[in-house]
Amino acid sequence: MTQNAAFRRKVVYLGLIALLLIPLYVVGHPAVGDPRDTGYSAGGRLAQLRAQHDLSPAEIGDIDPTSESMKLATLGMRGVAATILWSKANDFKKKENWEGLIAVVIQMSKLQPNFISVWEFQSHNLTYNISVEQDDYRFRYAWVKRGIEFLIQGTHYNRREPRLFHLVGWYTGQKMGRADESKQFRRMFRDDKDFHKLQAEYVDIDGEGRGADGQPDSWLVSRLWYNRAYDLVDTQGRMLRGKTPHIFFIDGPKALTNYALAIEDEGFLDERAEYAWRRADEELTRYGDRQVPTSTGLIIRLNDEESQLADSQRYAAELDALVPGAREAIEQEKIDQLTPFERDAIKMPGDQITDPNVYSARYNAFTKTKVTHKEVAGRAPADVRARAYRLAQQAEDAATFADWIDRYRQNVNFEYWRTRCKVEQLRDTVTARRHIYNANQLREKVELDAARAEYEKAWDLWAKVIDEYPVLLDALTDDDLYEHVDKYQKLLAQFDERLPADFKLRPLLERRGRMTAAVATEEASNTDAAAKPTADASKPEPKSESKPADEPTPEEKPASAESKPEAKPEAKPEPKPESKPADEPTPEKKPASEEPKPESKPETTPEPKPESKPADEPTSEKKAENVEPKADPKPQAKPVSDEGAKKDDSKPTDENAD
Amino acid sequence: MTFEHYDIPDFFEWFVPALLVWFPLAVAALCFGGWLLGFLISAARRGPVEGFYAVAKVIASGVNDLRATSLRRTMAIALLAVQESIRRKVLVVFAIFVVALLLAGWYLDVQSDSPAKLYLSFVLTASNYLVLVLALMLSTFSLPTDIKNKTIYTIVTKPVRLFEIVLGRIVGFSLIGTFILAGMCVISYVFVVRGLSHTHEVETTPTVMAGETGPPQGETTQDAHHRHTFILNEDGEGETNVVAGHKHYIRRIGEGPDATFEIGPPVDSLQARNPIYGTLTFKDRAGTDAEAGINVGHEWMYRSYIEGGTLAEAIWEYDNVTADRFPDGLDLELNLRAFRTHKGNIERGVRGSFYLENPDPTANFRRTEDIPFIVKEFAMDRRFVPRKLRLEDKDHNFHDGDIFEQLCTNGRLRLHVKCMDPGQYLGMARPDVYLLDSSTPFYLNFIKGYVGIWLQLVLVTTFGVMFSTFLSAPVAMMSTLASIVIGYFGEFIAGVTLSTINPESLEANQGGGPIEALIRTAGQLNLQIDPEIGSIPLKIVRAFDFAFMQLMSLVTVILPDYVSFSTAEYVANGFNIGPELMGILLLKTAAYVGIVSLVAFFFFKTREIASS
Repeated sequence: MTQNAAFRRKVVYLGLIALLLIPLYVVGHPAVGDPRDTGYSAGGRLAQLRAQHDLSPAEIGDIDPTSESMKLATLGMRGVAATILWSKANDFKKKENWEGLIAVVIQMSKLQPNFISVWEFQSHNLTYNISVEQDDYRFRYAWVKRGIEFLIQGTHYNRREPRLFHLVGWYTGQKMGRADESKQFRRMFRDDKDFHKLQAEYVDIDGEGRGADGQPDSWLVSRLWYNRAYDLVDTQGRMLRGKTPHIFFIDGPKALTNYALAIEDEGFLDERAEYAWRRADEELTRYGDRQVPTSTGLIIRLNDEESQLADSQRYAAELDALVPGAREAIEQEKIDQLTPFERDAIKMPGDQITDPNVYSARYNAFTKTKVTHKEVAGRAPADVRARAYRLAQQAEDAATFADWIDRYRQNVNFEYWRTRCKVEQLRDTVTARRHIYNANQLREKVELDAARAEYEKAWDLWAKVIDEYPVLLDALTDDDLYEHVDKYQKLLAQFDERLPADFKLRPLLERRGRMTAAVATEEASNTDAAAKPTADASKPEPKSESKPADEPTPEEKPASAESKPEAKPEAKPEPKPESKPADEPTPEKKPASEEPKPESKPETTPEPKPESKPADEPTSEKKAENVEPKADPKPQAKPVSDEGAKKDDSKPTDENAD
Repeated sequence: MTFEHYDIPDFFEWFVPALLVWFPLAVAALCFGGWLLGFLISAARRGPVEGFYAVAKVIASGVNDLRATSLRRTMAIALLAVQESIRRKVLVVFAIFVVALLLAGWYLDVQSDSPAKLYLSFVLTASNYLVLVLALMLSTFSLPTDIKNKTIYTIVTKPVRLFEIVLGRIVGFSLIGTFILAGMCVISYVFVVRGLSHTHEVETTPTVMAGETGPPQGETTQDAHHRHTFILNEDGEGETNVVAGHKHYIRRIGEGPDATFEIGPPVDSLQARNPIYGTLTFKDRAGTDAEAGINVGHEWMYRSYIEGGTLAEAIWEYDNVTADRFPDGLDLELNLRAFRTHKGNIERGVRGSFYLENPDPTANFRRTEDIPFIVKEFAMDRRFVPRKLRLEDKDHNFHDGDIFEQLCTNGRLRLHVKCMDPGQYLGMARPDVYLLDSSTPFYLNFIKGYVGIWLQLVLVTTFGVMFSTFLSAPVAMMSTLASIVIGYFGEFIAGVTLSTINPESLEANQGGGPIEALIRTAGQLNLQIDPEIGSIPLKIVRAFDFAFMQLMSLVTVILPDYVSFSTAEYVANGFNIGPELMGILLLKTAAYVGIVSLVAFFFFKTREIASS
């Protein structure tokens, strides 16, 4: 009896188990075959969900038996095990137990192979934090390499994750090329045939990766990794998480500019440098043609700013032609409605205002007297009013586009690099740099006469290039040219001489606001020449007409203020569009625009906003430089504040990206 | 690479107070505590007088049992325990170990800079954990299962004494564990030696690089994830640089373009060095005595730093430095750190120098010349100081001299380390600079590492058997496991207990005892404020916590500190496990086994009383 009951119970249990297997099968049975084949089965619900969300391990990356067995061995305590390993990793790092750390990191990555943060965080740890703990640069290099190799391992497990490929490029380029030890790192990278062998399994290191000396170059190899990341986004539709597209895609072109800079530093100052800059220019142009979604949903191309501005002006001109005199009339009406205090304020040149109330009143006055295209269209006769409104809308749309493009350009310093690429590929520029390079070498060998001659050849060529490309004055403010001028001055000092008053790069020095006291003294002593530098300072007259931003730096203000063009109170700068969201990528610093576009700016560009500075604008010191000396209330008009801003502008992109 | 276990007391310094003070004290406390506990339980059951007599009877019969213990019978029981273990398929543990080794290549970092350390740590740790689990399962399930199945009666009805049953099981389980551990030891040794064994070919024959001077330099092939460079002397012999903790000797065979090269096996990857540590003191930048150097801001304040280009020095003083011990000169190893406050010369390491000094300020010869070095971080920087050096006398004249004859006073010698680069710092801790005595063969040290594991095995077995004499199998297992956990995390538990017992201590983990911590957790309170439950309830909570923590503190003191028995780090880091340490560990184990066996016997005896 008892035996029968026990037997029955077992049969019931078995039956229940069999029943439970049915829903389990329905939910969990795996996909079978290739989706493109006939007879393909999509599998159960779980398999379908995995496929739908790209969560299938086989889709994400390689399946590693070690990793799988480790996960199983933790018996469902993977989270606990991972937490313990993270804690151990921190402890090992604190106690400088690098062997222990790397062992734990490897275990951690096996335990959580598809958790991207493990790869990102720990590869950074190895490449940056552990490497700098080593005093010997060769050990540092070894740890940088370990971090990169670790990350490459991560790409096996996550072969469709663009961030990891991008990071490999970043570490290979930035860490090797920008560290204090970059000279040593780049040299070691070139000679590291074992590392080349590894990298050759993933990128074309033996083709496009080879640099000026025929050896693999860290910047070029980094670009190849970026390209793999770009390929995942462009052709495989992988989502880009955690990076805005224009920042993400600039690194490839920037790798080429960095490569060009690096080989010039290393003395490759011939057609190889020209070619490097030309390639960078082409890549940057391709980048500029790339469609970039903005945070507002607009899709822009960085190359389109000029055409959008031109369109906006054309539409505005057509509108004005359709409703002649309306704009001026509306403006006058608005001026009439201002208070007397505001009317006085609006007439005052911006750089003469010291009272914040006046400045504020002036800003308000400009805001109030701003004439929109739609207001102009509203005055159109009834028979053309519809067309006028259409033109007004088109003009505003184009201006908005241009404005957004400008902001995004500033984020990546697009104009600066584009200008630089264009100019640096010129034979004269490369030759000028070669002379400087030679001069520095000769200086180190104490061949002072020869060094001086080389410097002077370089200055002649630089002056020629700057004459040919006046916009370069802005681009060069960040250049190491100043450093070389300083060296030249020191060299002259050894001849008991000073920088001559007619030094050909004086406009460049003055722009930088770094005229030395010695120079100033010499100028003061030379009364005949006194006027000349001042005239030189404001020399870009042709430009100053078209580019009010070419005003002197604060240090030069007393000298140059006299020659400054009269402020134009009638110019109506626009206030910043109110719709501009605070969290939008507002440019941190305002680069000067090399493009001759001021004509269009007054109508279409943003405006000074003393009370409403964006939170991410430069610090107060920088701000003071940028705001105070402004000649008219257009300083915030996008292209026009270049005092010292180019210096701020050229680096921050890298630093931010860093 | 940092090895912190250097503070091993002199054996006799440890042994004499241990034997004369602590051991008698512990035995007395245990006897009294045992008697009191037995009496209280017995008195509760039978009344104080009968209880007293019952306890006295048990003690008397227990003493008789102990006196009549037979080694032959004990070994017979031990043999039965071995047979029982084999029946319970304990050899599965061995199979698991072999499988773990077979798959080790998957888990281990084959590119490690210290593969020997990694391999050794792995095999020793794997053996340790597996053997402890084995001991835990064997020792705690045996007696309760026998009692439950009543098979124990087949033994107790024989002329076998209870102490023999207890001791026999401890010995038997330890024996089977010993066999398994010995097997693991042999397999591990082969695994490590074979795993590290490799050779290279010459890839680049020695040539003088363009633009460089010096001897011709060649390069080996990349094998085992690394390659070496090497330099040959005029006779065609030389050695490679040290990579991954080892080097190779290399020899040229033949001359000219037909010459071939023979590269030997790895050297120095498996070592058992005998370091002699000194005491460390500092001088600050003004040259005055200081307790420590400068803290450069590292979170881990293990090392102190001395500033370069100043009078700052780190001074080690060593004892027993004699010519008999170091006939040719001193072998030094440095493990210093560099800290730069400016970039300096990247291509060159931070420079330091050291000199030897006579500790006797009145001696005729004061010190040696400065011996410069460039710091090598995270690698053992071995340096040889010949005994014949230029010595400075008290009139600051230099003469050729012998460091043992002219600089050592009663075997004492000082070593001063300075940093030479202004603005840069050198960091050091006491065990970072030591003299090297002659090495011990590696295999002996490896065996000693396994002896450390064996001692843990014996301890766990003893505790497991002890708990199984009066607890059911699962409870005994959990209790033994708790004793292991407490033993391994004793330092952490001590820190927690200090939070209540001595909150001002630097080692204390803040946050109070269990109840206070629970209140803090529930109320999400930080550690700086008191729980707002009123002063009297808080006092009550803290009083309870205090009592509990005292108990925990007592438990951590009583139970063996398993970390101190774990000698794997010595083996993995290439340091010999000295006889002092082995002696201390052996005696500690013997003491624990003796006392815990007695406790187990009386528990077993008590159980017999209870059943009767």
